[in-house]
Amino acid sequence: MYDFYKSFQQKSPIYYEVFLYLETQVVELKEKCMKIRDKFMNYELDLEEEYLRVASKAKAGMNIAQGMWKELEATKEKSDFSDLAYLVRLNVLIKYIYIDVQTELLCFNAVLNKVFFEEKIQELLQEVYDKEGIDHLDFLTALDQATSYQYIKRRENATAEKMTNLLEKFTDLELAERVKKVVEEFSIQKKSEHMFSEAFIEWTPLVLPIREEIWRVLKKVDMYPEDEMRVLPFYNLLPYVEKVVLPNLYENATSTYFKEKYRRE
Amino acid sequence: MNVIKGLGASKGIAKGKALIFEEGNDRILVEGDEEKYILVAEYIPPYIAELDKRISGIIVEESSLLCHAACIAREIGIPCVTGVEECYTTLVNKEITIDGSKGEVYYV
Repeated sequence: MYDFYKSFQQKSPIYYEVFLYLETQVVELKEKCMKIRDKFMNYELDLEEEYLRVASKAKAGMNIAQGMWKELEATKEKSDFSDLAYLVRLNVLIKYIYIDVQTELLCFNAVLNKVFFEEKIQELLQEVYDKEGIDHLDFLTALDQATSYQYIKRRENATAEKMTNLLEKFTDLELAERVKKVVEEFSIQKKSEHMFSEAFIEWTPLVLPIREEIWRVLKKVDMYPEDEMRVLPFYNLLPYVEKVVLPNLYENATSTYFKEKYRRE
Repeated sequence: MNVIKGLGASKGIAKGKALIFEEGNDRILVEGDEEKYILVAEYIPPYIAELDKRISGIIVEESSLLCHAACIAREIGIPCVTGVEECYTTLVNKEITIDGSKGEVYYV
């Protein structure tokens, strides 16, 4: 039986670490990834439809996240949050962005990016070489240029020239049709990566101040991470906050509460 | 001259100074002169969609012909070598030549 996670671990340790963390947090996300992957491999997935669904969800999710941040900023000035309470709220917001919103994009993108190549293009590369004598890098270059972001956005025919020229020389017409299908599917995968890229650029002005706030509170409570952790992306900072900082703060907060309670009594 | 073997992912030959990519940067910024750089990274995350014109080649540790680094290198027509272990520590401050067809990295 195909081992999705083992394959992922081998092909992309970074994404695998993200999935490991998320797996402990959101079980249904794992099931979602498996469904996407299985549907894709069985040719049951309408890539375009799935892409539109994920894009729409990401957009809506970020609007909600922006609202949450504005609310947090506004109420913080008026209320007297304890460090623990404030950090919990920041953590909830970041988790919303990186689990509910961004991760579905990452799943869709990562599943297609990694699984797509290994299980669809690999055989095609060999077949194209055996039957048409085309070097695999020449083929991949033509594929990337035919499906490039610029081509998708501006439909510049020049960037598809290499693939058009290759296909015109194919002697096996059935193979040519399969290549065209792969070009179409890979275009959607590229659109997904570009969507992820655009979303990330859009989100940066939102997540950077949230991250600054998390760091500020961590410094204040003397749990600022080591230097090498500072530049880690959120999917490493989040586990540190959730598994190390918050339990420590909670323990201190509850022991203080009970000390005060018993002292009064 | 030292040589490291990797997987050639995008054809061509390029020379430049190593530019180590750091996760957490929103952009790859190359300030100052017109010097050519070779981008060196553990991997290039998918939110990096465009590169500074002074980046003439890419080297990544991630070993895949269809990784994001390889795809953008082929799109813009610059050489790329993948599967170079610990390149982001070995190649710091080095002058590099890469051959994307052979999958070889040369440095002094």
